[in-house]
Amino acid sequence: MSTKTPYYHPTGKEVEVFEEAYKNKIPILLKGPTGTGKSRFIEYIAHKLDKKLITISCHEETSSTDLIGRFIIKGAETVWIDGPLTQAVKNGAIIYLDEIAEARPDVIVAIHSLTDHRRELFVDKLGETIKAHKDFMLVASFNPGYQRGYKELKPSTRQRFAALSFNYPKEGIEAEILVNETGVDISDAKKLVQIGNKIRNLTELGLSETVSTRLLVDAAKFIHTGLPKRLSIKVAVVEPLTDDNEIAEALTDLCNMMI
Amino acid sequence: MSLDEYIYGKFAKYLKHNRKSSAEIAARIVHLDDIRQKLIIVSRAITGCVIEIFIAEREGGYKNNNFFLPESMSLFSTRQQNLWYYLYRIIYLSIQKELGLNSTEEGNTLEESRIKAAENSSTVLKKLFEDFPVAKEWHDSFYQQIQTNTAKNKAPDLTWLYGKWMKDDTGGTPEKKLNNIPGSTFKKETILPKTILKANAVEEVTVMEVDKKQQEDYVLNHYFEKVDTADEFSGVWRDFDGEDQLEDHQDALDELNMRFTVRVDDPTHSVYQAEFTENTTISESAEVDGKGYHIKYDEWDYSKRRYKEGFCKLYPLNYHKADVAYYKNTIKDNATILNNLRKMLANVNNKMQQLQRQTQGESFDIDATTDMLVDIHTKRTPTEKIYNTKRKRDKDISILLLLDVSLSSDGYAAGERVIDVEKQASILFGEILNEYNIDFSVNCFYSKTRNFSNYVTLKDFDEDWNNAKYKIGGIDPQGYTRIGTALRHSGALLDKRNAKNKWVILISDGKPNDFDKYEGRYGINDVKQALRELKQKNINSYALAIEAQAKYYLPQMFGQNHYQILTTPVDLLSSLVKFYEKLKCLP
Repeated sequence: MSTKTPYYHPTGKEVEVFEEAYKNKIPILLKGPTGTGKSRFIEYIAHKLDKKLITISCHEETSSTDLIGRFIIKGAETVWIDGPLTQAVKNGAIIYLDEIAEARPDVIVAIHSLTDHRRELFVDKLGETIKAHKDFMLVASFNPGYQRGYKELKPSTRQRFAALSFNYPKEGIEAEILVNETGVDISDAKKLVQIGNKIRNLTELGLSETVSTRLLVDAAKFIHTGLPKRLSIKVAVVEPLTDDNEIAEALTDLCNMMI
Repeated sequence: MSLDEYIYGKFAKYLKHNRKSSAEIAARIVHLDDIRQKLIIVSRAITGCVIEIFIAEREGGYKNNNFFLPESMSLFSTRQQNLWYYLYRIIYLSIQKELGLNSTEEGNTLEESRIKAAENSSTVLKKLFEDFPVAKEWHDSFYQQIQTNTAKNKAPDLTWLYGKWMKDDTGGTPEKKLNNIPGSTFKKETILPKTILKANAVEEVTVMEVDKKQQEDYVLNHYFEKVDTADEFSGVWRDFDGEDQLEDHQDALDELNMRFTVRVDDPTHSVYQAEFTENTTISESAEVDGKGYHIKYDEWDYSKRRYKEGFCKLYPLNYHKADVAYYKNTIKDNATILNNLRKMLANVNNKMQQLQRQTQGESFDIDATTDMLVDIHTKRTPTEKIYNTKRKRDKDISILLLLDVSLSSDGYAAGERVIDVEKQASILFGEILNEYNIDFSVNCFYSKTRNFSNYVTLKDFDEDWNNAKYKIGGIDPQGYTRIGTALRHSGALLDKRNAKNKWVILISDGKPNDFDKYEGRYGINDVKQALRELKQKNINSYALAIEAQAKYYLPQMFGQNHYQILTTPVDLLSSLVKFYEKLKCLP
């Protein structure tokens, strides 16, 4: 665990909510578009609570085996290896399932018994039930704007979580985040945030995701270390957003006018 | 053209030509049309409104969400500067719009509105320079150049920089209506026939072709003794006045023998029911030379059992009008349906397939493990492929949605407008297909005789759904239903795709019919033939019809299991899901 507290600027009551949730061991679902600080928040809070954090990035092929554990063959023997979830359950860590909706349905079924009063994990391959450590807590993140049809969470799953919604911070706070995160000038940070908000205006452009705080942070980093401003924005904001030349050109013009 | 007109025309052309011929100007001129798309994006980003950009008479201004800009710009010395000029105007207008500085009263002269604009420019500029630092530099450079270019004794023409004030329209800007053509020509259901009368029985009816020439030449003839009566066709053409006067004519009609009918494209005003035996010969339309790009398709003549080669002209069109609100409302109003649809499709899509002997997976493949142990004992290098895993099956599909947008789709089925059901279903289904990364295309068709079969592509296979989705809302019903030609063109489009499974889904509300001879058995048989052609190309077809009567002719055309009749339009979505399921279950 790193000794330095990760930087996180609360935009609401999320820290308080999480701390209370942790006391009660209520699973938490972090919702929000990419780059709004979900992962950063959980790192920060784990550090604050001084708990070990295990992050699992779920993808389409993430199965319960990957989480719970598997037998492997060693010589002529089969040996069981705990998966990250089993480890967390045993040792009392905070487990963070990033983009949980991406995972296969069996993952979600596997965590069901952990999210209610039972707080236990059934390892089917061993025929064992593991009681969760008292410090164990489950956190998941989910991006509702992702627009992937089969990546909706089932209501029965969603109701097992308390949910915190994340969104792009307000202008002032976002600028502050940029400054803290990168050390860029406050005036540049403000400009970047303004640009970000202008681009966020464009809802019908066919951008599947819009400018996240993360992109702005990247641009600010470039600027801070000395890349020309306009170029920084082009490579860190415009190009990651779109592959369409026309849109890219328009966005570049827009950014160039504003900084 | 008279001589003076001719000379004037030549002269004007010469002047126009001369003005543009300068190579210097050509090198630096910027045309609005070339950069319009880009400017639209920039202005929408800055204002957060759905801005459209139009060509102005001269310097332009803004009106509600419409920005007016000069058609081209060559005032400044370099091409880059002229480009900047447009950007400058965009941000200027955006700020002006934000500050709400525009005319409130009607009838300002051009002079007044320019003065207004210039007077208020300092307010706009102040904010402009604050928000967009680069604008000051641009403005100053433009100002300089305009000043140096003006003759000494004249005031510099700063209207280019500050534009003119325009009057905001209250209540939005409706589309321009055509003034000279009654709206009824385009809409069918606006006028419902109120009067229905029964005719005397006749045995044979001959259909006459409209002789437009004679109609135009019709000299006002007054038959004073026949005021308010109808007469039998005697070779004199009159204009169709389109009034519902049937009742007034009732007595006269009773005296009448109906022997001739005329087909017109006027909407129905009164219905005069006549029973007659169907031995009418509908006249075929004569060949008309097609203008613009078109493709000729054959048509099947069932009575002669042969193709009429190159009989139909099909015009492939691209659609550009977007109706963003329609899309948004559809998604909003049908959020629940969309989610259900998602769920249903997710079930279909998430069916797993067991894969054996993989390098990694959830469980051991017992056979493979046994083999491995045997290998180990016999001192051979064992394989690592000893796991079972499950994968989702990906289907290699191309789907072409074909919408019938003929006038009949303007009608209502179970209280819902058919065209709206078609549009909404395509939007929702498209949304889902897009999420599942399925190769699909949305097209619609309408026709007016064999010479004008229009085939409008709303979403091409390779087009981004995020652009195409807004276009679907903009479609309006028009024309007739020449299904065969549209199917043939769909086949040609699908033929170019590489997918293994190709499908045409026809969503229609009616049977084949067209203004000329394309109905009854002829039409049905042509559709049947077109479907046979698809089959030969290895393209599957599926028809969804929103009409109870469809059961009489759909089976004839599509064959068992290849169609579904929906008694209410709401069923459409669930049918699409069923169809999708069917498609996924195929080997």
